[in-house]
Amino acid sequence: MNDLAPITRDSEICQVLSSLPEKFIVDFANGIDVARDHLRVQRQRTGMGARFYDGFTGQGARRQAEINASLIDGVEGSLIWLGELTESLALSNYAIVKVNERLSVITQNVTTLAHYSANTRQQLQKLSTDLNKRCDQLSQQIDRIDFEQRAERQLEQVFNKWSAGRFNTFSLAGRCYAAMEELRWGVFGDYCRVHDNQIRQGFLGDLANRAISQLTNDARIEAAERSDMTFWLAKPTARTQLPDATDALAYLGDWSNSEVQPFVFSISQLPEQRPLKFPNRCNANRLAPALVSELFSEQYL
Amino acid sequence: MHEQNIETLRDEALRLVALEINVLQKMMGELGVLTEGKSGEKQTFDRTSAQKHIEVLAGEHKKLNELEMVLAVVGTMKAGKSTSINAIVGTEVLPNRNRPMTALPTLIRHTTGQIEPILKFDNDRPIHTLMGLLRNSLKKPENAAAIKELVIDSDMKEIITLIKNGEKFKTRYQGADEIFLFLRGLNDLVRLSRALEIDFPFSDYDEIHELPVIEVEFAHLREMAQAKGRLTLLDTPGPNESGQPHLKKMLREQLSKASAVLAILDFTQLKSEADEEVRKELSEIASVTKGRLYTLVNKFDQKDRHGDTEEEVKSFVAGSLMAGSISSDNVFPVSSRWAYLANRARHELHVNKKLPDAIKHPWISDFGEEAFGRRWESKIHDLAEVKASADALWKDSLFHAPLEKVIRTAHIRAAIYAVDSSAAKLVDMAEKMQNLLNTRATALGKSADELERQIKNLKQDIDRVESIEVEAKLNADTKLKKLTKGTELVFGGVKTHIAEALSAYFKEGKQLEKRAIDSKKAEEKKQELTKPVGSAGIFASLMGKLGKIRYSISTDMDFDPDDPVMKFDKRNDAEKLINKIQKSISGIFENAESVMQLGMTEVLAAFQVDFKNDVVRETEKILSEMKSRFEKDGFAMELRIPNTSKLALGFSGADMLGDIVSERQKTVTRNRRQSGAWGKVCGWFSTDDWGWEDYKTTEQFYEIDIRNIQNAANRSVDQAVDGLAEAVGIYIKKPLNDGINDFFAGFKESVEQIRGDLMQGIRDQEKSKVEQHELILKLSALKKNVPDILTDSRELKKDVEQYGTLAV
Repeated sequence: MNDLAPITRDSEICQVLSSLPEKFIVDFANGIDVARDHLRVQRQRTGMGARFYDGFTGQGARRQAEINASLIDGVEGSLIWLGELTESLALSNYAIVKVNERLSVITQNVTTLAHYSANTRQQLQKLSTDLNKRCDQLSQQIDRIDFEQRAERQLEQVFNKWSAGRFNTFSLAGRCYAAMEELRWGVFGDYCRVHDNQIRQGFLGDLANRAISQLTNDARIEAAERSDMTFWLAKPTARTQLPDATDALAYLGDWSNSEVQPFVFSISQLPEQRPLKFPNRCNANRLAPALVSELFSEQYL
Repeated sequence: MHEQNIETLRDEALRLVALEINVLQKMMGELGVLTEGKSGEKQTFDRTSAQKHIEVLAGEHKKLNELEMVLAVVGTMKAGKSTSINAIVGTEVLPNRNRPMTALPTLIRHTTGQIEPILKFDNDRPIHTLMGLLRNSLKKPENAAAIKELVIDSDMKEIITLIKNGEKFKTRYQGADEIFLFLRGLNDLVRLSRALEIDFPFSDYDEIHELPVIEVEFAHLREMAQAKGRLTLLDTPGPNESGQPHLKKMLREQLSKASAVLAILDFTQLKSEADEEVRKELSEIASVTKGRLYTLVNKFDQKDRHGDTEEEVKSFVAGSLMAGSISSDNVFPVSSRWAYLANRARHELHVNKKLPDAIKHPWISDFGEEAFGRRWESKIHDLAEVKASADALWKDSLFHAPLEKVIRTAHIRAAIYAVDSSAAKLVDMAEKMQNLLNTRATALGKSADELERQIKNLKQDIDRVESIEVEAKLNADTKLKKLTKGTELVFGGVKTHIAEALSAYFKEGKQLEKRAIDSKKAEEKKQELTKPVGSAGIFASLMGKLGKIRYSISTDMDFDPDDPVMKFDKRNDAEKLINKIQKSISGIFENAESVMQLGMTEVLAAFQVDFKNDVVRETEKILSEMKSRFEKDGFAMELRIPNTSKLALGFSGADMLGDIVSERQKTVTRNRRQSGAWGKVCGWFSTDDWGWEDYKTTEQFYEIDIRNIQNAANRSVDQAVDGLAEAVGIYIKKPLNDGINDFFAGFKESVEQIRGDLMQGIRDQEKSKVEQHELILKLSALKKNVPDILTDSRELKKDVEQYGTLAV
C-alpha cells in the first residue's frame, strides 16, 4: 500500500512537470500484461506510479482504491480505464504513439489467447480505433507548416518556465533534466523524431546552448567553470523544494540505464554508487550537451 | 580550496583511469581492431603496446589509491634527526648511536603489520657493479699507498675486505642493528669510491623508488585510514651537507618532490647556530619547499626557567632565522626524545601488552625517568600507570600538533602529485585512442592510393623535423660554448681583480708594518732611557749599544719593502688587514657571481627564445600542414607540439653558482688561515755572554704572506672554473640535451604512430567487404567512448594545475 497522498494532474508537481501524467499513462499501458491478466507494475503499489494510480482513479480513499484496484487489475478493467484516461487528457503525440504501440502488441497477443471474452476484444478494438484516429490527426499536424514554430514555441515556453523559477524545486542538474524531459514528451520531441539528423542537430544545438545559459544563470558561474557534482546535484533549500520533487525526477528517469544514459541515470536516480561514465566534476558546457545527447540521440528518442 | 577538492580530483582521476582501461580492454577484445606490431613501423597501439598502456594505467590507479606521502626529514644528526624519526615511527629504526651521515637518502615506510623494521634493497645492481669496479681498482699497484692509508679506519677496512672477497650486499636486512650495519657499509662505499676516484652511481638512486627502503609499522599511524595513503619518511642530509654537485642536485630534486619537509633544529643551539651557515641552509630548503616546510625545534625539554617560551622560539625561528620564509605557525618546539620514548612505550604496550625487560632494553630506564622521575622502578610495572604516563609524556613532547599538520599537508601534496601525473597520462592516452580509432575508421573509406600519399608525406615530415633537430642541437651547443667562454672570461677578470686588490693591500700592509716597527723603536729607546743603570754603568752603555744594534739589525731584516711577507707585532693589526683582504676578495667574487648569474640567465633565456621562435614555430608549421592535409582527406587528428616545459630549467643560474662560488670562497678563507698566515716565534733577548740573565722575554709576531693569499685565491678561481664546468654539465647541458631529445622524440613518435595506423589502414582494406563493414562498426562504437574521456581528462589536468598553484 502506498502511504503518500495520491497525485492528480492538479497536484503541484504535475503543474511543474506536465510530462509526469503522460509518462504515467504510457507506463500504465505498458503494464497491461495480457498473458497473466493483470497489471504488472501497479501490483507493487509503491512509489510514484502507485500514487498516480490512486490519483487518476479519482479515489483518494484507500479502501475505494482497493476496490477499484481489484477491478482495474484485470485486463478488461484496465482497458476501459485506459480509454477514459486517453480521452480525458490532452495527451502529447509522443504519449499517444507509445500507448498505441502498446495497444497493437496487446491486440496481437489477445488474438492468440483464447480466454479473453468478446467484451475485452471489443473494448480493445474501440480503443485502438480511437487512438488510431488521434494518431492520424497528429500526423497531419506534423505535416502542417507551423510544426517548426510550435516546436520552437515549446522550447521558448519550457525555458520561460525554467527562468521564471518554476524548476527551482530541483537541483541545478535536475532543472536541466526536467526541462529536457518536458521537451522530449512534447512537440519539440515530436519535431526531433520526425526530422533527419541534420535538422535535428540544429535544434539540439539551440537546446544545449539555452540550457547552458540558463544553468550558468541559475548557478551564477561561467559556463566553463567546473564544479563538483555535489554542487550540480545539491537539493535546493527546503522552502523552495516540493515534497515530491525527488520522487518525480526518479519516476521520470526510471527507464534510464547507468551504462547508456549515465547522466540521466545519476541525476534522476541519485544512486549511491555513480556510474563510471558520470564525471565527479563538470561545467555547464559538459553537463547540458551530455543530457541532450542522452535524451535526444536518434536511438533513444 | 580545501582538502575535499583534491579528494574529488583524485576520485575523478581514478574514474578516468578505470574508464580508459575499460576502453583499451574493449579495443583488445574486438577482433581486428588492434593488431600485432609489425617491425619497422609503429602504430599508436598494437596488441603489445596496448597491454603495456593498460599496465601503465593500472599503475596510475594504484598510485592514486595508495597515495605515497613522502615526508622528507632534514637536519644535522646533532639536532636529533634520528630521534625525531624514531619518534614518528614509534620504535628504534635508526640506531641513535654515532651514526655516520647518510650517504644516500633512506626511505622509512609505514607498513601495516611489520613490527620489526626490515630494510629492502632491491635496486642493488648499480652498487654491485660499483663494487666490481672498486675491486679492480683495489688491485692496482698505484692505489696501494692510498689503500694503506684508508684501512687505518676500521670501518673502511671492513668494506675493503668485503669488496676484495667479492662479497655482496644482501637485499634484506632485519632489525635495527642489521640495518645500521648496512647503512654504514653503504656510507663507507661512498667514501671509498670518492677516495679511489670512481664515480658513485648516484644517478641510479635519484628516484624515490630506487632508494633502499625500511618497512615498519608506524605506531602512530596504526589506525590511520587506508584512504589517507601511505606515509614514507625520507631520511636525507641537507643539501649543503652533501658536497658533491650530483648528490646536491638529487637532494634538491627530492626535496622539491617531497610531499612535505620537516627540518629539525636544535633548541639548545638555536642562538649559536643562528649564523650564516644555518640560515643559508634553511633558506635554501625553504626556497624549494614552499608551503610544505615545517620546522621542529627539538630538545625543547632542555629549556630552563629563563629559556625562550614556545611563542618566542616560534617567532625567533620564523623571523630572525628564516627571515620570513616560513610562517611561525609552521615552527614547532618539541621534544623528540620524549615523543620517541612515549610513543615507543605505547607501541610496546599495544603489541606485547607489557614493557620489555629494563635491563636488556636501556630505553626503558630513560622512559621511566622521564615519565616517573627517579623512583620510576617502583611504578614501571603498573601498566595503567605506564599507559597514563606515556600519554602524558607524549602530550608534553608537543609532537602531536606538528605531526598532524605535516601529515595533512603531505596528504594533500601527495594527492596533487599523483593526480597531476595521471592527468597528463590520461590526456595523452585519450588522444592516442582518438587518433587510432579515427584514423582507422576514416582510412577504411579511402583508396589505397590516398593512404599511400599520406604515408609518403608523413615520411617527409619526419625528415624535416630531423633536420630541425640537428639545427637545434647545434644551436644549443653554440650557446653552451658561449656560456663557458663567458664564464672563463669572468673568472679571468676575477684573477686580475684579486691581484690588483692584493697589491694594494700589500702596500697598505707594508706601511703598517713600517709604522709598527718605527713605533717599536721609539719604545725601545724609551726603555733604554728609563732602564735602571744600577748594577754597573759600563754594562748599561754596552747594553744600550747592543740593543741598538739588535734592533737595527732586526729592523733591517724585518722591513724589506719587497719582501712578500708582512710581519705584525699586534694580532689585531694582522687580523684587521686579513679581514680587509677577505672582505675585498669576497666582494670580487660576489661581483663576479652576479655578473655570471646575469650572463647565464641571459644565455639560457636566449636559448629558450630561440627554441620557441625557431624550433617550436617550425615544428608547429609542419604540424599544421600535416593537420590540414589530413583534414582535407577527412581525417580528424589530435596532434600537438610536445611540452617544452622541460627546457625551462628547474635551476636558476643563482642556484648553480651558489654551489660553486660559496664553496670556493670558503676555501680561500680556510687556506689563508691554514697556510700559516701568522706564525709564532720566540725570540730570546738575552745573552749569557754579558752575564745578566734577568731580562728574558717572549715576542710574538704575525706574518701575512701575500704570495700565499694570491696562490690560494688563484687556485680557488681555477677550481671554480673546473667546478663550473662540471656544474654546467650537470645543471645545464644534460637537462638541455634531454629536453631537446624528448621534444623531438615525442614529436617524431606521434607522427610515426599515425603513419603506422595508416599502414594498418591499407592492410584493413585487404580484408573482405563483410569484415571491413564489421570493423567500421566496431571502430565507431569504440570511438563514441573517447570524446567525453578526452574532455574530462583535459579539464582534470587544468583543475589540478590550478589547484597545485593555489595550494602552494
